[in-house]
Amino acid sequence: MRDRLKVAVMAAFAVGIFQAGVASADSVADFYKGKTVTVVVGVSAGGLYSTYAQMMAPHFARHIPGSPTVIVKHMTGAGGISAMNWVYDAAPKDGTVVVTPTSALNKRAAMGYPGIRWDPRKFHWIGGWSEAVNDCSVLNTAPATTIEQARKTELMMGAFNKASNPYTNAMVINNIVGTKFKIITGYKGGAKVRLAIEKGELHGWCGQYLGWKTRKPEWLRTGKIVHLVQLASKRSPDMPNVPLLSEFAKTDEEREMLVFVQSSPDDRAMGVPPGVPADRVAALEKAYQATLRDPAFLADAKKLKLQIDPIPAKEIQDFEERIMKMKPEMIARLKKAMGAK
Amino acid sequence: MAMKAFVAIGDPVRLMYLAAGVLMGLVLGIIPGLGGLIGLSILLPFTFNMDAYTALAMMLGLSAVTVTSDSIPAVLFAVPGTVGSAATVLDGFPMAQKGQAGRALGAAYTASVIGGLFGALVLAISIPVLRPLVLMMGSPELFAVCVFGLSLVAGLSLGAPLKGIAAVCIGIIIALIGEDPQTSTLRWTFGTTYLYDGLPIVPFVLGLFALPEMADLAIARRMISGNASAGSRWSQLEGVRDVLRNWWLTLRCSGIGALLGAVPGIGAAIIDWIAYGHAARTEKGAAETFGKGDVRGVIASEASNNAKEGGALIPTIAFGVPGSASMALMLSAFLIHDIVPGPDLLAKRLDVTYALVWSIAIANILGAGICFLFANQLAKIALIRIGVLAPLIVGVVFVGVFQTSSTMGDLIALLVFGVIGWIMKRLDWPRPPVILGFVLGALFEGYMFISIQRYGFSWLGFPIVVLLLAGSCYTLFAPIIRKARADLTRIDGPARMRLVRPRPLISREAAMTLVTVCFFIAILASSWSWSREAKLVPQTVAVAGMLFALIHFAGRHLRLAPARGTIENVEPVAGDNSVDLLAELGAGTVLRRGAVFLLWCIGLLGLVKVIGLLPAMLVFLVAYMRFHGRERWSTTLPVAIGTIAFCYLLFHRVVAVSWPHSLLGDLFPVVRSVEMFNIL
Repeated sequence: MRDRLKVAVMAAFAVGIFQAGVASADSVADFYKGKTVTVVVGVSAGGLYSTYAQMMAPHFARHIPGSPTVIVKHMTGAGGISAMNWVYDAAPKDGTVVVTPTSALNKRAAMGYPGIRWDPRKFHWIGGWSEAVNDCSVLNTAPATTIEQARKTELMMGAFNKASNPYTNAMVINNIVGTKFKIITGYKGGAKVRLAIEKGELHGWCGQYLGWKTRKPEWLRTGKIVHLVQLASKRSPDMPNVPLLSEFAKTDEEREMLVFVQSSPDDRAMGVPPGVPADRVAALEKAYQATLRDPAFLADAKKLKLQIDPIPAKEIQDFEERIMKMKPEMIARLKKAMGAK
Repeated sequence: MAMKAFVAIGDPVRLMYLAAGVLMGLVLGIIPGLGGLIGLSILLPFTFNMDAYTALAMMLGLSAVTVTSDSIPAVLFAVPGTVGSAATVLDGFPMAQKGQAGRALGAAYTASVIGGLFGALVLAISIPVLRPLVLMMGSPELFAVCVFGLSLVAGLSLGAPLKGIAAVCIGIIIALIGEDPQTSTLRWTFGTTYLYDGLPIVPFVLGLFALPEMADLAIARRMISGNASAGSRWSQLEGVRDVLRNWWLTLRCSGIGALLGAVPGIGAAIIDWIAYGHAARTEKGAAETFGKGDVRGVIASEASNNAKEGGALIPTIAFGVPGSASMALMLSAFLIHDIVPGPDLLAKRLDVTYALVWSIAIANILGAGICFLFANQLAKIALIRIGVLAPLIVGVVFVGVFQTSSTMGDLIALLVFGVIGWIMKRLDWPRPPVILGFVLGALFEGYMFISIQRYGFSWLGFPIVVLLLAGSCYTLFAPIIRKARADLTRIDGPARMRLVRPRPLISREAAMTLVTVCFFIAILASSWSWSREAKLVPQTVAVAGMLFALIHFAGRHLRLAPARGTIENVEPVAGDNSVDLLAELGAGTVLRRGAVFLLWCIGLLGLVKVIGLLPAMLVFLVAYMRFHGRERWSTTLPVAIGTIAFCYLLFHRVVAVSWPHSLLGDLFPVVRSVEMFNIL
């Protein structure tokens, strides 16, 4: 008797939850019906983030309840900072605006870079499509082709400005692993760096691995470039024999620093600004996660040569909590290792 | 292989897509602020599922012709349609003022199509030597190319090369705004993130060139073409004949465009100026007629900017290095269709490369053809009353400029540079060198630091570097030496330096020199505390600019004169030689009306903040036309509402702009969730 009651109560409860779920899905669907959801991209058209967003938008639209129109808007400025600031404190907070920060922007927020107004913890992250694997690669004709050799021999490595990943990556490796990279700054974008490598002006750089895969696949195939180290949380299936940066740590503290500069779950994340109703956030998260597994989406991604490796929202949220809790001494040490003032 | 590609592109369906791309490109080219970049980014997602030939044909069709139709607003209203046609304004607009708009447009289209075809030809024949050619140009060589480009300033500041160099220095300093790549110092960002990445070029160019011309027209209160007839029906054929007569100039400028287009970073924004400068120096009698409506100025600018497209594809095809943001989009399209730039495209996939060549060629012919059909109608725009035209153009320029980075910063920058441009124009200081300095300045500093970091100073001995630097010295100083020689020959005897008394004592020249020197002093003072690397280039340039401005000023009053006898008076030297509309108005009237025009623009800016860009534009159009231009309601309302409807459809529905957030929208945020009304 008591058991039956229990079952009945549980059943009623379950139905209640279910109905609540339906009701909320309905109201979400009602809200999105006929609306436009904007994906804000903080860098210019033609780049990876923009191309990805444009490819993804129609698939995402199909998975959001009420099938709204999904469009992509570019809002360039300050390397993506302007767009994040705008979404954080000016964009509508009703779930019609999502944003895709470029990698390392949240890390810069954690390190207190100037001009950043947002708190990465307060965004509602709805998922990411991959981590951004960086690696240090050099021509196979370079004077050093392993980390061991690079500790003794100078290598010319290209970078953008001193706040960019290629610079801070190489700096951290110099300072912690003891390599002798000579970092040449001032190149405007990965394509220019790869061209300078081809011209012989540079030996290599510590930039995005994806660029090699999409722009110089024949160099990977023929072994014209050699990877010294990969900056990733786990070994990439493309580079099973290349050591991870964190493997070079001698102390726990070094390890923490190296992990911080490696790829992270929020590298290709998508987020909703604070203040959006929870049911819409949940619906967008569900829709985005479903999009990342949608065969039609995956087929389009394959055309762009993008490796989709879905990252759950919670993983990103946890990551932001973690980096925002870093101690000031750690931040100071990191900044020093990265060559920032 | 070339024929096979031709057959592939000749497929009727593909041709249709190509033509659709061309039409879109023409429309985008006409509207200031919109260009190939926005068109391509809208188009890209639609090409995912096309075959490779079709996708590339459509995208190239679009981007190849924006620089054909951009000459229309440049000639008719002195508003460059894209940054690539700013030099067309210099002679095209005075031609329109003389009632020769049809002829100018005819010449512009013809030069465009020849330039475009020549660019495609250069691309086609350079395929075998593409890669070694680009590999030869390292950072030191590119630095030297920039210096050479800067040295061409002498050709752009007719009669006053020193003033031109000072103006270049101003341009370089403006280019250095933003985060410095060496030390991450924020240079002159005034606490706004808008300037972190440097000042965007579109508000800068439109501010310097478009607003001042509009202001002058509004001040003069007359229509663009003082001459009541906009030219006969056949006037555009006269333009065609002009181009054919100047075929050698056309080819030379096309060559400049194709060559420079191949150098990454040297984009549309300066290629037209360099070609124009070249024409101004080499054509007979150019010193007297250029800038006053000489058709050769239009030809030089237009031929070069269409030829650029073929050249710009070279680094994209051969190395996957996009020369510009539009080329970056083309590159994405390549990748989607499994075309990997590099040696492959020049050997195994040669068919694709030739298809690109054919697409550019066909697009140019189509684009110019369509423009020709409408040239006569368009030329009549020059007869529209200024009370209608000025607010219309100001409004469209505002919306167009806003597309740059979708923030109020774009509009503020437009106004600031509008004021600066107007002052420069009124005080006879040349504006083209400022643009040249702006575009080359940032590259110049970047390449210099890369060269020094990489090679120390040994790169100064690289053969190509030596050659280019020597060429720059020659280009820069030869005219000055030639003039001194001529003076000596004229004097024919012992000479001395004499002071010429300025008349009036405080001339416009003195005023502008003072302003410039103060500007450079402010630059020195504000950069004093920066680290050595961050301030090296800005301070060197500021000191140089100050010196050149002072030498120029002194030179106006110090003359080589015969040891005995009288000295002739100082003759006025015009800055950009443009036709002065305001000569008959007194300085007081000019200043008063100028201030009123500025107030209207500031009012528009303020209103944007309060009620949003499109609504503000509507209020501005109606108010200006009705109350300032004294137009009838029956003219005012249809024009205003029609313009807003067009802008709404194009910018809101097609381009999907994020409009600036207004106070009104902050009060009623619910409006923003409905896409149709999300304009506040």
